[in-house]
Amino acid sequence: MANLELRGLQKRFGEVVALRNLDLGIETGEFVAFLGPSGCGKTTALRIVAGFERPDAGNVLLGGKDITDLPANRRDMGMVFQAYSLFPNLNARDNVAFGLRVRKVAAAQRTKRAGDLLDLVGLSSAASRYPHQLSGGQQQRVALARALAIEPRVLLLDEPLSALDAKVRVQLREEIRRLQTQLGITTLFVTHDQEEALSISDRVVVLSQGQIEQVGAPTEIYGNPLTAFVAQFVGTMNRIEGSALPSSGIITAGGTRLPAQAARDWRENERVLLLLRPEAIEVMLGEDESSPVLAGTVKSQIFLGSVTRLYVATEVGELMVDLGSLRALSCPVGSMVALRWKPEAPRLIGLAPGSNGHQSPPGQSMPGPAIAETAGRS
Amino acid sequence: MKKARLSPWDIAWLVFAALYFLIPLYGTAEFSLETGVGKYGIDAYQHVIGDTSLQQIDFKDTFPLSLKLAVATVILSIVLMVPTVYWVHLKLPRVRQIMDFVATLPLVIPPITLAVGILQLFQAGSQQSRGPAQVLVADPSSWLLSGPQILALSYVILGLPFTYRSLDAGMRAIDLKTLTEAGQSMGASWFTVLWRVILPNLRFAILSSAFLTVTLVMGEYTMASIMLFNTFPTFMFVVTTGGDAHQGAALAIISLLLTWAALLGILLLGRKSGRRDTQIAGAR
Repeated sequence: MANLELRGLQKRFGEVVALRNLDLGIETGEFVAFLGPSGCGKTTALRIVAGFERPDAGNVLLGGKDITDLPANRRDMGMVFQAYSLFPNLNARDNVAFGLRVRKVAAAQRTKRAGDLLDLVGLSSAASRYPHQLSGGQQQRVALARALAIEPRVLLLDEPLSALDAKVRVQLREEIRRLQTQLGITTLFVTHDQEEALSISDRVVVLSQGQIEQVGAPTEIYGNPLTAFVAQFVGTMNRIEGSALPSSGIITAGGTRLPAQAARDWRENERVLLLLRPEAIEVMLGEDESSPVLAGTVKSQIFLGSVTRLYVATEVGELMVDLGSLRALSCPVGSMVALRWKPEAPRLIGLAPGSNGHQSPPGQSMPGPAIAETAGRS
Repeated sequence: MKKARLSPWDIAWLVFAALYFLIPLYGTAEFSLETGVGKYGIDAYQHVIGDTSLQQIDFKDTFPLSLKLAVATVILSIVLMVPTVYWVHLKLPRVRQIMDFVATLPLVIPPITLAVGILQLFQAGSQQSRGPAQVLVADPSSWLLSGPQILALSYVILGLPFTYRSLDAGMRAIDLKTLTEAGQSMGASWFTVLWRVILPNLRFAILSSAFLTVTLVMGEYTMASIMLFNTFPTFMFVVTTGGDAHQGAALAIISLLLTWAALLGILLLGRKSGRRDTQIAGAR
């Protein structure tokens, strides 16, 4: 049995449905991220686990015990909030020791433990400082130490990095992961930042419109999205509408034949959406003799550091192509390029004829709602 | 940051504003100290504080009573209003508009109307008259009317605009919801959160509401007079109208000094709590 279980959680705020039947099990010591856009229900789910919201239906179980009706202050869950939540009237040490004081731990013992935890988050020298004397990153570190001080059964992180600048964000997320691994504490992390979710979690739960779209390891979510929403939300995807030719493993889009091994699982001429990561597309340079898939013209470039993203106009629409920045020097804006990809690279998602709804290929189950999006860049 | 420099116009305006307040004050002080033509002394002060034979009421009885009423009003206001405003902010934000309206009522309703209304309600209650409100208050009403405690309760209503505004502003200035939830996630009960987290961060708001309430009670005449209680302001009135005008001026100065002392006390307390706000160099 999982350590933390969410069973059929439902929650409405007036007319707005925040959660529809959320089911999830989280193992002891697991780091699970709730990922999704604003309003997808991720924070509501976390707040229900914390005890700050009550579900309209469903249960929260911790260690097999139903805690749905247990008040927040009796759940033994440490929480780090998106907003800076340190008590302004207490210094860093007293903030960390607050939970221990509430638990009537002896003064000497709680001072020692607060000191140890501040040391753990690298802020032992700031113990006497008040929140306003600490930077945003330092405040969130103290908040983390405070949440850990009570030795919580579950650590809840509600977008704790979103108010920080980029560099501090990366540092702190690595620190959170290091501490979580070191202490082996079950952790629920809410974020809208896919990079954050993918980089530090054991499992990622992608949510949309109050439902789980997909649950899986970060590599699985990124490499094998099961719905168009996940494909679009996690990472960047090229989207091309076409028809399946299963016998030859091809998708035809406006007369252009695009290799896609996955087409073999689909019925003849079935309408599908081909999804392809920018990094899965190769640009063929002069010496390469294999046959290209598509030809196009580089319309623009965006330098992203080690890679450069090319926007290439082709006969199936504009495609994004990620190329090593050094190689990108040989493809200036306006140049003609030949593109190809491995047949196994594209993912296919069904488009029901005459509708915008997506379907799974025959014989393959696909959770989640029909996605009301039309094909993108084509 | 460059220090702002005052222009001659700024200084002239400041002097004008200062004189506007200081000249009447100086006049009152000089008059209170005058013992004859060109003669000065503290006779008026000695008489007004020490002489009990002049009037039926005196300083030694009225001033402590007003002080007690002020303290009781402050305590009652805080005990009643802090949890109420906290709960409204946290759980019933829609009720805030109603609270805003209710809190302005004591400013709109003249104290004389309030006093007459209260007297009628409680006297009717003590006589066991008909009506649910009267029955409800029938028992405690005779105790309430038996002493100046009714004044403290009335002053809580009179001070409501000041108490509510100060607390409302204080609570708007902090992230009440996050602080409360952070406290709860640490295992704190509602009471502990209120006592250890919210109250310390509302210190200045509570102090300023207390200050306004104290000054209100120390200067309130209408209700005390109508309800026939001898408080410091009623004593002042008796002295000024029935006795020596110099003594009346002396009482005005005493009252002013006491108010200033209260203000100074609050400023010092505020500074003490604000001292830790000093930025430590290199903290960021």
